[in-house]
Amino acid sequence: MSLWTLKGKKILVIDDYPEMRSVLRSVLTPLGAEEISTADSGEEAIDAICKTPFDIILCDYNLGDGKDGQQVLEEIKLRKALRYSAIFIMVTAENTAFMVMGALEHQPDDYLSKPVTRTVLQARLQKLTEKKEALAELGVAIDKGNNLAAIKLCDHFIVSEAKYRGELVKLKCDLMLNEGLYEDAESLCKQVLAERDTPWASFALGKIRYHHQDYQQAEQLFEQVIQTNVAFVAAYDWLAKTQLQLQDKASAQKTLLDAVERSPKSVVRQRELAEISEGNQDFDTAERARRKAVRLGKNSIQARAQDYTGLAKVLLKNDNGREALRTIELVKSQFKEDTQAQLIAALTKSEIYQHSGQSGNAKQAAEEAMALYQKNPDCIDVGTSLELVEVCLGHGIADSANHVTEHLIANNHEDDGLSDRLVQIYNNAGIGDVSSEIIGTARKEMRRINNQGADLLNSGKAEESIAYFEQALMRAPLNPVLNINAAHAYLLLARSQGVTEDRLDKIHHHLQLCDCVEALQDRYRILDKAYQQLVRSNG
Amino acid sequence: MKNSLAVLLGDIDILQQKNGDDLLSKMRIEGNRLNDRFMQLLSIYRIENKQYALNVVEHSVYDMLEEVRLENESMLYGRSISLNVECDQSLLWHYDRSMVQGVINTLIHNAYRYAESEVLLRATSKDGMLKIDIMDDGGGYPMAMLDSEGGVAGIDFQAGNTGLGHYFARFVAEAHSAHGRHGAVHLSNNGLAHGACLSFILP
Repeated sequence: MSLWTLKGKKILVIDDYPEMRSVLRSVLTPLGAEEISTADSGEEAIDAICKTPFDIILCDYNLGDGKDGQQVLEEIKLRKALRYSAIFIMVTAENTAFMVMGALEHQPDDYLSKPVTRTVLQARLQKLTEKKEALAELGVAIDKGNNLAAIKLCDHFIVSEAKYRGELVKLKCDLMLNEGLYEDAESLCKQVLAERDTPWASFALGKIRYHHQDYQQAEQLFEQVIQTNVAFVAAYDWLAKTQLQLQDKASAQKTLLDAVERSPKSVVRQRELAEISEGNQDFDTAERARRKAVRLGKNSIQARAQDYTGLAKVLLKNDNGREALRTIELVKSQFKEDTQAQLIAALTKSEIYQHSGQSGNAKQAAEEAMALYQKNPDCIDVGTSLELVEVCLGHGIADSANHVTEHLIANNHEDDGLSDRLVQIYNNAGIGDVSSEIIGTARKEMRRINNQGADLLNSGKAEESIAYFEQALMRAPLNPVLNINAAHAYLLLARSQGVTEDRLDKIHHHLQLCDCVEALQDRYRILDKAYQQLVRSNG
Repeated sequence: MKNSLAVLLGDIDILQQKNGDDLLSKMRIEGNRLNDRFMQLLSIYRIENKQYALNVVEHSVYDMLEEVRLENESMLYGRSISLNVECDQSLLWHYDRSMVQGVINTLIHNAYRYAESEVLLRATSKDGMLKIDIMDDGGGYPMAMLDSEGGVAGIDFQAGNTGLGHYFARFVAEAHSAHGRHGAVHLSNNGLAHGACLSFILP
């Protein structure tokens, strides 16, 4: 036992109580620890971890008013500041605190309940070091983001390091889902569930059903997970998403309200709640949720400009134009690099001015928005682009509106819903006939381009069609039809000339850009299945 | 309250490392017992109020029992009772570690009070059930307790025994279920030299 030492390990102790920090220090020092840093808040801890690659992190769950231990863990995982080889231990004041955590997506390596004794800490650190060393190769693959290699290593270690089987199986399932290997993940989950009722496996199965657009089944699975495990907050989030797909907006809002009550500190959850309540015209709930999202997002990688712009919009709805304008100013200063955010800010400002009868200022803001759009049209999402079209038309800047419309169609030429919405916006502005012409021409042009590529593909000229589609995608990189054809072409190439990592990556990339388009679902599924077979044959 | 207790126990630990005083050792044991009880009450409260569900994951039973042994051994300087573990090193089982470890710690503290010279933890698996026996070589359970088959019997306030430890053990065992079967607790006098034996059984 005396051979084992913490000498040379970089250690971070996070606790808001100075007494607890010194207790932990005095527990660690006799174990040979020399390099012990401390942090007294979640924010300070995140900074420290991003700067120094610690080997061992002991983090108290309860850190006072700021971020809690779980948020610290999530934040550093999202920032990729936590290497697989590092040991993260959550210290909790009570045994039961981590019952709620068992159901969380991001889990630490271990939980320790207070009081932390030297014996237990040493035993746990020794075991964890042993484990991390045994699985070191897997850690390297995960840190590099090499999911396929990591999955293979999981299989290897499930046999050779049977002791860690449980967590390796779960890890493998997560990796498969990340890699889009839904079929493999599904059979893995079913295997696990045949052995015993395992919440994470039911949850993963729900996500897979959701992916296959089998929302009824997904809803059942998520409900089942929540019933047996009330603390599984991620299941609430997914249940709400599923209910939205089933057009049950009222239930979705209720589900998220339950989730927020159980776990109020998630920015993403508050944001979702705000968006759903806005859809339900419940602007009181929306305002509360937006405010929380803004507050929680401070100093976090989870902060999004949409929380601010959303707050500004809902404030405007609730007749608080002055605070809305102040919120918009915050976007300008805090999200300087985010073109979409600046654009939404400009649009919202335009709306606020319009609302208060200052049409000159409103038009100026609209022009500002258009200038931002032209900087990089492809980083602006469809909803925002539509709003831009509407605002531009409202101020009589038809040229700009038409330009945005053309680009929207180029990226979504087979999307009838989008065309209809555009026509409606133009109709409202009193120039419906103009839009039919612009839209009609743009759709025809994209069809011509796509057909030419499809001809090459159909006559088996995979390489030529790839060159063609890549060229077309430069102009409309998000176009799902072009993307699915590109994926198809790469698939043919991989079959005829051999499977390479690069070709698999390309197929995956292009498939991802069309996986949520309803009209392409059948083709998507066939190609996705073929892709998964290629991945398997390559392994 | 939880933090104060944790700080207090930590401080006693430091003092104890400086001078292995018997009194400090006693304080540590009693403090730990207080902490255990407090956690048990909290756990029961939370589970009954559906605030939490168990976190059932696969663990090495051997690792857990070894940790329990180390943890308790260090607190028992000066008492000539040995604590031993008998368990196959490759034995893995699905359960909520913090709850089960809490139960075993409490049961060991109980066993210490009655043991003459040894407390033994023995884990075995049979027919899909894990059985952890906590045995001592003391005088065994009184007949009245054995009759109630692990129920909340033997509440004897005069002897300072409210039966919370056994109640908690049964609570945790029954909270675990798999394939339609629940855990259970059995009391017998099949311990060491006919001493007490509490069998904590998990599906």
